[in-house]
Amino acid sequence: MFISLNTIEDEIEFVKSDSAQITIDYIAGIGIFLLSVFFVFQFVHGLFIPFQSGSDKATLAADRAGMVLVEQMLHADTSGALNVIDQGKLYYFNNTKLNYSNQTNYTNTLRALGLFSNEMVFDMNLSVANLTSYPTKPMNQSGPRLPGNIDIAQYNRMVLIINPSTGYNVTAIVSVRVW
Amino acid sequence: MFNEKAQMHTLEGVASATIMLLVIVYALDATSMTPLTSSTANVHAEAELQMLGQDILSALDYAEPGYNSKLKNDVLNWTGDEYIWTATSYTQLKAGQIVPSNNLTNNLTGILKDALVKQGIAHNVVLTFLDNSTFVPKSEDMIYNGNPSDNAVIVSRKIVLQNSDGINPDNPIKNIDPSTNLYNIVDVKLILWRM
Repeated sequence: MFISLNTIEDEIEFVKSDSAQITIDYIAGIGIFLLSVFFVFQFVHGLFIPFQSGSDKATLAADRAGMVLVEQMLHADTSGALNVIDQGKLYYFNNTKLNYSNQTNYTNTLRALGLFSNEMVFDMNLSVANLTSYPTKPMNQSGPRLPGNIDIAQYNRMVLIINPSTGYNVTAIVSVRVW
Repeated sequence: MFNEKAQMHTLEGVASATIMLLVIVYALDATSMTPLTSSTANVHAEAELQMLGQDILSALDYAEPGYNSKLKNDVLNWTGDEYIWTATSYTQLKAGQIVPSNNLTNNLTGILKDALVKQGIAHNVVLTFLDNSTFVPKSEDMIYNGNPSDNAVIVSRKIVLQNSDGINPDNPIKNIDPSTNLYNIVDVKLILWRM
């Protein structure tokens, strides 16, 4: 009994002592090990960056195509504002130029928008929805169906669709989706 | 030196402090980017917001020849009151108090509701015009939803008013030159920021 009490006292004294618990050798070893793990992760990640396909290219292509479409191809000639588009041009573009069932027209339109060349091939879908019902009920939609498993870039513009001969004008959101 | 005891208390302190610092740095880096975080992505978000604002003003300022634009009509019919978005409508704000009986419903509020409120974009509309006595630009709020954040963008559109346009008599915009047909020049500023 006396001996075991002594042992406990010794244990308490040991715990209460000034000595620390971790040895300097262990700290140096684990420190170098952690640093090398960190370095390996960073380095290996960097090795694969050039092979990863980013969505930046599609985003830039969508921005460019959307801007060309709204501000040049569909732009109403009578208006000075950049985002006023002509109803007739929109219908023609939607029903004929971007008609996916006519591959020649579709490819030519992509070429005109800078989305199809020897270096790159993109697909494009256009949808136009009234501002009040956006995005649930599109008024016009053309181009192929949106794929479900790859990155899609989107460019949205708020436009005023006008028809000078009938006085029709409606505010809508034009969404250009590129992948 | 050859017992089981370690050598330094201080080193343990330094090690634990370093680990704590690394954890804090990692946690801060891992925090998700918000629309208000300053970064290259934020520049893109601001550019999109600016584009949207410009599109709203230019769509409203479109007019067929011989007609006033919707934006101009809204400026002409303004009574000088300040309005705040109250989740359902733009309601008058008078001396810090909401006046529920007085709502603003015009072309501007219609488009702001659909284009900005739906997307959770906060916005103020400020009209800047020349004071008819001092000829110094004077700004008054038409719609005020609070102070903008640091990353707010401002877009503006200038509207020229003529004597013949038939301005609302309660409008604080007054005639700066009664001798000519020019009435005043109004700068409609739309301030947008993400919440």
